[in-house]
Formats: sequence, structure tokens, C-alpha cells
Amino acid sequence: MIYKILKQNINFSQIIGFLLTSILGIGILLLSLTLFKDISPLFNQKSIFGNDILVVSKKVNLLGTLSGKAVSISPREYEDLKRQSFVKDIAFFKPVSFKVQATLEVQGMNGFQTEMFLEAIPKKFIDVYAEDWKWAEHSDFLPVIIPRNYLTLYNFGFAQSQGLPQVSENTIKNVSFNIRAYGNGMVHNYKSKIVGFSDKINSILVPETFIMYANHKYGRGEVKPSRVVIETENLADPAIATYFKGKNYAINEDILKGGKSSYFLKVSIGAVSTIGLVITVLGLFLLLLSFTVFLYKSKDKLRNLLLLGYSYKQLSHPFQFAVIFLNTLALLASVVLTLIVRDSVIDLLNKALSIEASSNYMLWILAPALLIVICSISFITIHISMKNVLKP
Amino acid sequence: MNIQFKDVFPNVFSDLTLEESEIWKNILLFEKGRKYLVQAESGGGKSSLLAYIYGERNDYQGIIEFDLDNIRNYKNGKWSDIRNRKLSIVFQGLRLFGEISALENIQLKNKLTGFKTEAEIISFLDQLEIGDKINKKAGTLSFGQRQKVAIVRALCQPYDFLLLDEPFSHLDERNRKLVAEIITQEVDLQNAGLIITTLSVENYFEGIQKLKL
Repeated sequence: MIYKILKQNINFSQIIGFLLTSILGIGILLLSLTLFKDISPLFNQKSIFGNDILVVSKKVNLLGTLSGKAVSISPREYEDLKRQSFVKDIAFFKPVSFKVQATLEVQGMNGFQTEMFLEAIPKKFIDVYAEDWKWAEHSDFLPVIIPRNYLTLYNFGFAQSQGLPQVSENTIKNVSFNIRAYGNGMVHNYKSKIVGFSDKINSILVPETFIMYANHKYGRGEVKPSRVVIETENLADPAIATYFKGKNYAINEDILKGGKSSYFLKVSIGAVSTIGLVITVLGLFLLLLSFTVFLYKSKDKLRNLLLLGYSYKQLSHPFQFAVIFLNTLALLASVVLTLIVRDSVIDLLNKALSIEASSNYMLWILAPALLIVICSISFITIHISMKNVLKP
Repeated sequence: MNIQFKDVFPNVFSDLTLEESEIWKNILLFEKGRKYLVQAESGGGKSSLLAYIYGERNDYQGIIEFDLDNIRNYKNGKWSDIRNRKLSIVFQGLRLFGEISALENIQLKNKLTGFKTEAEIISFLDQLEIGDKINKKAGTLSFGQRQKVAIVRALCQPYDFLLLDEPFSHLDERNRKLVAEIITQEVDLQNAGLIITTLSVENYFEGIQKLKL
């Protein structure tokens, strides 16, 4: 009956306007938030063994080459790096300070021999798990990790062009060779094997304990370090690019590029979410404005009903019902819209970035939560407007 | 419930002496079960008096009490309760809804209180000779017919006082008597009080106390 009385004051075009705005706004909001969830694996790509690793070195310039001075990272620079927000942990690369020769024995004879160098970083920074990654004084076995791209270079460059056989990682791991350390009038042969291949550390690594021991025994003690390894939680962190920009450091740009593109994606989706939120708020504002205008237009009728004995509560019910009904309608339409559009967007993302749709639970939590928030705001506004309209 | 007036007068009358009034700036008790006829000329504050009692307005000085309870402090919820169980009113402007039928206007109140059956309501309308108008939109009825609808609506609830603001203004002599008869019968049935305001000095109720405003 109350509806019948108030019906002629309802402006249906305003309601349709609200519905369209709300469906659009909530749709964009839900879509961007669920997509954000879908692509979130991109932002948090971590290596299997923990956080991301970034290798930083000083840039080599012509002056340095001519002067013959090695570029190194000073303690002050090290401390400055350490203070950055994106640095979870940091360590110097420890290079050998003595001569190293690797010899591959073929049938008991020295078949292949090369000068080489070794470096060490703390175990936690190494992205390879190797069980025998340890060395203790008097141990004759020295495990080695090489960059995986060395093997690739050999297999697809050297081996193919020189007619040599290609080898698998497992084959290489089974090849024993000798590492000869010499200096200060001493020499020692270590049995060695490659125990792993690193994707992130571009160096030939041996356990840190070996370098510390051997540098003192065969070498000139500690060498000025020129590279550091940084553990960071998120390579997409824009602070990384910002910090290194314009500084005289060389970093692996490729690693950061992935981070940058996912950062860009993140910002884009953030912007879209914001637009969705703004439209939703505007839609809600339109609804509340319509209700307020409607209440003022119906002021006399509502006042008559109040004087007839209807309570505020009873008079608010039709409005509250309308708010719940309209918003539920808008939300359901938005959810359907979101599911449809998301499917095609995920299809595209899948082709470009191999992203799979995550589960819909985010949508099922977000949608009712949004409905509760919107209805609560509406109820409060209706309550306040009703009080103002019906004030004696 | 009794209604006590203590030095009550409308704010707009604060400059006037109001010596002749038996209500304004006086101590007066409206007792349940008794009938009061408040007579005054236009602008005497008849509608204001009922609006104050009914809680529609509070632009007055002094104190109005329901059973020694100052009504100025009543909240909305309390007023809803009072308008459903203690006070019923026929406004001078009637406050009917033109877009719904006569019967629906009455049911709007009756559904709130559940006080009368539809048959009883139709019987009232028949007695008042507008039984054929029950499904007509209130907006299409004459003012006299609407006055009758508003009166029947006012009877559809329990009350301690029935307040009537110039209820006969658009009714002829015969219809006034007809309406007064039903009102008397209903008020007496509930042992309620009656406060009726009028411009004229004519009276259609027995044993009524006349008050000059």
C-alpha cells in the first residue's frame, strides 16, 4: 500500500541510470580485482629456493681498462646498498686470489687443461640445491657450480660448430676433473665435479669455506670484491630500478625487465580498479541522491503516514528493500559480466603470459562484501535523510 | 490517559494576554470518558491545540502532560505507539491519499492496528451513505465525502481520546447528525474522551463541555 502511494514519485530513469552505472562500476571493480589475483603469481615469482637473486657489479669503463685498476665496490657503497628497502640480504662475491688450473684427465693422462678462476658466495644465495655443497679443510673434493648458460654455450655453440658431442647436465655431473690451486710456493690438487647449474649466478662457484681457506694459503689474502649478490623479496619492486638508474652499477637488466613488465601490469590493473571504484561510488552516490530527492518529493506523504501512526522503521522498510533489491540486481549482473569478460581476458593473458585463471573464491567473497558495504552506506543515508525529511 | 494543560499557549501568542481563553495560559485537565467542544474563531489556534496534543507540532510554551508525563520529551517511537493506541485524529486537511481508494485509505490505518474487520468498515461507510464509493480514489471524492472517509479511518484504532478538527465543515445538517451519532457510539464504546474543535456554536453531542479558546 505504501508503495502504491509513493509509486508516482519514483523516477524510473534515475533507477535505470543507477543500475547501469552500478553494473559498470562494480563490474570493472570486480574484474580488475579478480584479474589482479589471477596475475599475482607474476608479481611474486620466486625461485624454488627462496627469494630472488640480483647480482650487482660496478660498470667497467675505458679509463679503468687503461689504468689497469680493477673496479671494486667500496665499503661505503656496500653499506648504502645494504640500507635499500628492496635488499633483504646482501653479500660480496669472494674471488680467488691465487692461480687455479682445471685439468680433465683422459685415461690417466692430462687431456685438457685450462686456467680458470673461482668465486664464492654464501650458500643461501645460491639458487641450486646440491647435497655435497660443502668443503672442509683437508677435504680433497671440491664441488663446483657453473652457470647453466656455459653448458648451453658449449652444446649449441662450441660442440655443434666443432663437431663435438653434445652433453647432458647429468653426463657433465659425472665427469671428474682436477682443480689445481697454486701460489706462495705451494700447490694442491683437488678432485672436483660439477654439482649443479645456476640460472642466476654468472660465475664458477665453489664453497665459501674453500675460498677463505685457500686465499690465505695460496693467495694474497682477501681481494677487493667487485660484485655483490643481493637477495630481494620481489624483483618487480620499482625501488630496484629507481635505485640503480643513473648509478654506476651493472645489473642483469633481463631479470628486472620481467619485474618491470609485471609492475606495469600491476599499475595498470590498479588504475582500472580505481576507475571501477570511482564509478561504483558515483553509482552509489546517484542512487542515494535519487533516494534523497525521492524522499523530499514524498515528504508530505511520508509525513502523513508518520502522523497516521507509521514508525520511522516501517517507513524506512520499503526504501531499504529497494536498496537491497537494486544493489543485489546490479551486483548479480556485474558478477555475470565479470565472469564473461574475465574468461576472454584470461584467454588473452594465457596466450601472452601463460597465466591460468585462479579460482573464483575471490569473487564470491568480494561480491557479498561489496553488497554489505553498499547496503550499509545506503541504510545510514536513508535513515539520516528520513530523519531530516520528517523533522517536525 | 488524561491530558493536562499547564499554562500552555502557542509561541506566536506570547505577546497576547489571552485573558478570555479557557485553555491558553490556563490549568486544564482533559479527562478520558468526557467530551469537550473547543469553539473559537478563525486564527484562534484550534488546529494548533490538536497538533500540540497529537505531537505534530511543539511550538508552544508551557507543559502538556499525558498522565503527568511531559510529552515534549517523547521520541518518535513513543509517538508512533501513542498514535496507534491512545490518540486518534481527524485533521482539518484530512490527510487522505488521493491516489488510493477510500477503503484503502482506511485500511492503511486499520492494517496498522487490526482494530476493525473489513465488514465493520464497510458497514460504517454504508451508515454514512458512501458505501458505493469505497473503491473510488479518494482524490475523486467531494470534500464532504472525504471527511466521512477520514472519520471512519480515525475510528479504526483503540484510543483514549478522539481529536476532531472541524470535522463537519463540509457536511450538511443531516450528515452532521449522522456522523455525530456514529462518533458518539464509538467513543462511548471505548469509554474514550472526545475533543472537537469548531467555528460555530452548534453542538451535536450530548453532555459536552464547551471551552472557549
